[in-house]
Amino acid sequence: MNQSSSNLYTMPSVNESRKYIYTDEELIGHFQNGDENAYVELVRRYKDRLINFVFQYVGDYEQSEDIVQDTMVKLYIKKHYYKEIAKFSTWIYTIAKNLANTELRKRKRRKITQLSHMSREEKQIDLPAIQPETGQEVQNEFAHKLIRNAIQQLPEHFKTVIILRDVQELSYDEISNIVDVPLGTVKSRINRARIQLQSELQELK
Amino acid sequence: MERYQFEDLISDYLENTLTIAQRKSFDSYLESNPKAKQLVDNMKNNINELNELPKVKTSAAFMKNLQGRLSAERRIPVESTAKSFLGFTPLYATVMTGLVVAFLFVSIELFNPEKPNLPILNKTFATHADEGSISNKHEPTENDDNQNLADVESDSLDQLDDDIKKKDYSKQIHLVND
Repeated sequence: MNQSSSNLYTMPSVNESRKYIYTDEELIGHFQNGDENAYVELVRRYKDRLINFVFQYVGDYEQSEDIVQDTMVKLYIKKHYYKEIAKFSTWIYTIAKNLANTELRKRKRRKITQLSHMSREEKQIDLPAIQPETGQEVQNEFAHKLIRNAIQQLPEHFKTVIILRDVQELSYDEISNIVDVPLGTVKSRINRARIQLQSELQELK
Repeated sequence: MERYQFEDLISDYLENTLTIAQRKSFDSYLESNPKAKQLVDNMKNNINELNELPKVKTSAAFMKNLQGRLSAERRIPVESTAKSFLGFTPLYATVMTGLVVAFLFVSIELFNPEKPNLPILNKTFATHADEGSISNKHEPTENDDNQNLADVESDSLDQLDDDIKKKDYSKQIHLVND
């Protein structure tokens, strides 16, 4: 994997605006033909997007980074499994989602103490006490932690769609392809997930 | 508008995908239900908060670690080929060798000029032919058996005499004084 020569595929600067920008689908095509620079560019494009998704899903940074690494390794090994009938983003998100699901199931099997297994009292102990005189930054941090904890309380099928829609801002079509359910079901799930998130937040507050 | 209808349409309302008629009906429901309005407002805030969640980034060592893992992955096929024979796993190599040996044995038996045909095959074919003829004909009687036995004995004795007559040992006999 030669990183130094990978700038063939990187985004052009303002002065280089005429330079051709490869789409994800073109890059995976180049990679399938043996060009590893295309792989490096795909990793650069997706590593942060994927960790953002996986982190909200799993709730642990180190595990999230491991999952994203696994996703990229899988992309490297199984590159020929991608067919250009779907968007590359859909394919890579599906891999990451499946790996994150597997990790959550492993975690449940190992019976690692998890927030969802704790009582309401234990959950509340984890949250920082908010003081009236604390600054805006701390209040925001508290709000973020609260909403992340509320996401963790959701069932897996609600958690996936709400993260993909409201955090990753993917389209309904893309989500439908990633979770492999019809569009109508995705819309309905997102709606119900939002209602349940609100009730979780009320309980946590 | 019923409560369940209202709940089904919240996301469409927030994403502005309702028809004008549906939107008017939804708005009038909100005006008459302060709790419903509170729920919609809260959900709108939640979506904004989810959008504004701080973005997480991979660590600085991500690419380096990935490179290490990919190097390890590349080494795996090399190790696996070392345990193979001409690309076959030990099991398949054994099976293939057995098949090749069996094929060679059958080929030699079939095409060997000193043994025109496989005796086993001849016997099998002869037996089947006999069975076919028996099934088509009458059942054997005691007279038939005696006749067959006499035929066989006379054939074998004749064959023995013929063999003795055919053999010429004149050139192989050497007197001691010669």
